[in-house]
Amino acid sequence: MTIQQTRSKWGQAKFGAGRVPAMAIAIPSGLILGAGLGLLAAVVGITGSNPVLGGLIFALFLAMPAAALVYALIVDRNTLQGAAERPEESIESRWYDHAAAGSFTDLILVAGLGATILAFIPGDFTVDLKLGLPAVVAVCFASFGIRYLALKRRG
Amino acid sequence: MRNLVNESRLQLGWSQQRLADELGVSRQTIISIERGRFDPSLPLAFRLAALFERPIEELFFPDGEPT
Repeated sequence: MTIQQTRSKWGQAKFGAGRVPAMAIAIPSGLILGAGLGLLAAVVGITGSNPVLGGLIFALFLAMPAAALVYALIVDRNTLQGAAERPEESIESRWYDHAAAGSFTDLILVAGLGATILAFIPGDFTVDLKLGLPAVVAVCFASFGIRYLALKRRG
Repeated sequence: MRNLVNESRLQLGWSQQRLADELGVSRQTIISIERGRFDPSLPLAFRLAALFERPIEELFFPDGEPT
């Protein structure tokens, strides 16, 4: 059986000597990871007054991203329908590289400006890392996404 | 960099998707090369030249140089 014949919308992953649909591994793994992280959240006491409900909410919200992460890690892109055989030579690869480089520059700029502004604030002013780090990630996502779309639109 | 990829492809009667499949790249890559917005890597340029059976310098040439 050739690779061309085994291509599918969601692709396959290597499993032992053979291949299985990537989603058949990703979804259960995501659910297990989500449940594990939900349990961890309840055990360490960051879920508020109701650890069971809090743990369930954690698990629900983390299961899908965990499944997506596992899928991205395990899927063999040669088994995906419509995937180019040489993505590194496609223009999308160049858009990605340019957007990532620009996003890195934006991150340095934003972090530098932020640090400068914070240095001029008198008194004890602290930034909660639980808010600061997601903000940094959000800036990176936004910068990368906007740059990639702009490059794509330009062609 | 300008090129004759569009003309060469049309001579063969191929669609952009067919050419993309032959080269293992996305159709958007072919569109961008034909519009002159994307200079392909050297290996890709050589594969294009081999596919169209013409020397690479007949397929790609610098801006300002006559075709």
